[in-house]
Amino acid sequence: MHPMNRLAWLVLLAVGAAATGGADPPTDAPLPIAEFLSKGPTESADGQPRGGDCNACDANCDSLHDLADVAPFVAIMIDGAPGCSPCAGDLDASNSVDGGDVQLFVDCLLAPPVSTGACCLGAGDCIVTAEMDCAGVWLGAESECSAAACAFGQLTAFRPQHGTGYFPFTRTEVSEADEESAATGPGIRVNHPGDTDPAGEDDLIELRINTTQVGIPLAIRRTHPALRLWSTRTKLAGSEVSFVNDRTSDLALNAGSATLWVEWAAAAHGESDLLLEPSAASFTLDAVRFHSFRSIVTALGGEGQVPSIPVDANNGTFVVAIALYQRGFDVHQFDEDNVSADGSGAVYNEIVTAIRDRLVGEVSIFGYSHGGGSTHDLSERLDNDRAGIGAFEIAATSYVDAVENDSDIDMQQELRRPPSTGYHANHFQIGDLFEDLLLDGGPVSNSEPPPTGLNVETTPWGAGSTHFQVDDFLNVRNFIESNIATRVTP
Amino acid sequence: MSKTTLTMTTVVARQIAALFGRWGFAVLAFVILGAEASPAVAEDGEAAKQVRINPLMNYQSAIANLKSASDTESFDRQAKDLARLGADQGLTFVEQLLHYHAQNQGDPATSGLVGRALESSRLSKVQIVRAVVTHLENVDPIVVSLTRDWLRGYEDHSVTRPPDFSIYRDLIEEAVRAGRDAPTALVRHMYQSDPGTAFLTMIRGMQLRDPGEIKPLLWGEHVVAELLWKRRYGFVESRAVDPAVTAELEKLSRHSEWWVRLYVVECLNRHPELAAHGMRDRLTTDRDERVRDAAREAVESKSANPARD
Repeated sequence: MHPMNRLAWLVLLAVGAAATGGADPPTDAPLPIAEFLSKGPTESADGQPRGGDCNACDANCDSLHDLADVAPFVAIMIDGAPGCSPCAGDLDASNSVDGGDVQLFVDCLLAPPVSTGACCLGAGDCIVTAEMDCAGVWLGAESECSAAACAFGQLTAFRPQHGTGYFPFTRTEVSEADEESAATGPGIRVNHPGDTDPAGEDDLIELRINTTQVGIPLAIRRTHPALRLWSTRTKLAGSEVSFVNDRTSDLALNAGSATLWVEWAAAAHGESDLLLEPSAASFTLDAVRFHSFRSIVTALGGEGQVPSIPVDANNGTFVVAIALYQRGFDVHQFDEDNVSADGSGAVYNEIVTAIRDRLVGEVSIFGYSHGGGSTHDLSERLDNDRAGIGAFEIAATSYVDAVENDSDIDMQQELRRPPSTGYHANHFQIGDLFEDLLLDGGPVSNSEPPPTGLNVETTPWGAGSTHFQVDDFLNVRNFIESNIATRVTP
Repeated sequence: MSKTTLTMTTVVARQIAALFGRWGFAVLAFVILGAEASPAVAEDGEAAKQVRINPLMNYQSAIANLKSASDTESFDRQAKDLARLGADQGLTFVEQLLHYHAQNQGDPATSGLVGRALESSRLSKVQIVRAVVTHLENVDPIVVSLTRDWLRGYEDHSVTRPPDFSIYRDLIEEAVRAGRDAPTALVRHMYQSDPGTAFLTMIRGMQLRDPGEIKPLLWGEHVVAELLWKRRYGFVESRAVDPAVTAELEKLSRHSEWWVRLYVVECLNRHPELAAHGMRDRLTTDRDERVRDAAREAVESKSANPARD
């Protein structure tokens, strides 16, 4: 006998018995369908639940389609017993359970056994269902709702580039803890059309996408149209990732990962999230919040100090620069020789470009020794040329043992406060011939700590300091870092 | 080594020995080895390209020994005395200091020592500049680079005023009055530092007398400077071009004097957008080698470092 016929007979017999009151519907654990049907091949059948999420075939509401559903089905149809769910037994969705449901019920019971697996309704919302019952993303048969099972996709943003790469910084990930912060999260330079990049296109932010579910297509949603995505760091033609209604199509991943480049392509500041989503659902797997940089921070080393990787621990200025970079500032490190005695040069050009093209409104400059002298010269030129540059504030500056920098052999103490700075920190020492050939900074009016900055030799930690040590004290570095971080908008 | 030179060397060596008794051995070695005493050598024929400093070991030792001075007063006295050895108004001392700087550039304390020694020497700015300016043509590029840096320190650069090229004007005037041409390396150094101020310095240094000859040059510089001023202070776009400026540069680029055409080259190096069609190419084939070289260097530099967007 054809197995479908066997089941149909079973159901009909049950219906008949119930109708004559001669048989009780079976209520014990039923014979598994597979065993019942073992004498013949199965056939496919429509096992889809009826009435939306309500499962008409599951007449006893145990999430299974098996013989245990027969008795409740019969009871509903013949006795008018209340179903365990609003749709129980009503497979044809006619709002009544009658003969028209019998064949569909039989078809449903004959359908192959349904596998279950983890169903993700959100990155932290998981239930085990059959695939057909999953309204989110089904992770596959036998998958489980283990911890973070549904947080299978991740976005990682990086700190900004410089020129053709990251030098003189290392490639630095924005931490999970910071990635959604509008202050310490990933900053991005305004890169609207017309922006000039003296060092080449380096305003895009690297974004890495990873997934542990390689078979599940992913997409990215943006919350602001200023954010554009590229598959190349220099925006090569044809490499833009298109958005439709602020959402990408399926991302092209290779072995579960991909790298994209994020651009802020608007002539206005703002914040925007990028949200990683399964293509087939609309919940967020991971999010990164980008904020356009509103400031530029410039660090100028002393004579003979050049930015390097790894940073020389004796170049305290660059150590501070890296700390601020890691905290989310757009920091630029320079050899102080890039500032001419009249303030012009590559550093000035970088800052002017930031103000004119990247809409930066706050500038911070700090330097050691001749780098301190250059901090003055640069501030002076920026202040003098305001009319041609645009609106900006020199929000914070700092000297460490600053020496005027008209040339490499200039030995004059830099005692002039950087013009127009809103805040100035000053640390210095007074050495002697043996220690440092009398290379000294000195007091600068209206500086922090008040009133003229700090002679570190008056402190227990800085007593006996020389010119060559003063930039390396932890107290000095922390003072500069924390005060710039407090006074400058990232 | 000529007899005169040797005698002078010996005298200086003795003086140094007297100053730094414990370094007498160095002096002895110097005399025995017969080291060259002539500090700066400009060989005939290609003078502009053969300037070099012959290190005098006694000077080099004495300069290094300044670090060991017992106190500031001692340092100042030794530096001052070194600067006054011989009868060359500090020329040898300054050149030897320049050599010491070049040889010890990697040591961060060297710049400090050199700067302090120059300060303590009590030599005037004029003496120091005159002593080092020759080395803009030194065969050693490190020395040339340091010379340019030293000179910039004496040019008093500022945001609010042009650099002071008055000493260079004197040197150029001296050369012209003596019937020589203005020193090429110095002229190029000025132009590379500040083309406008350099051009004005040249107009005076070259001893022009005819107002009819001076005025077109002054006017050309004025028109260029005015555009640059407008750009700097935002009265026009930062890359704005003015046809009047291009016309003036075109005229100047056809001037008979090489140093006028060199001004155009340096202007265009900084602001290539101001060039009339074909002007730069024409300058790269200029009849004067100095102009031609400067124009070609700029073109080569631009090819090696193309501007990127």
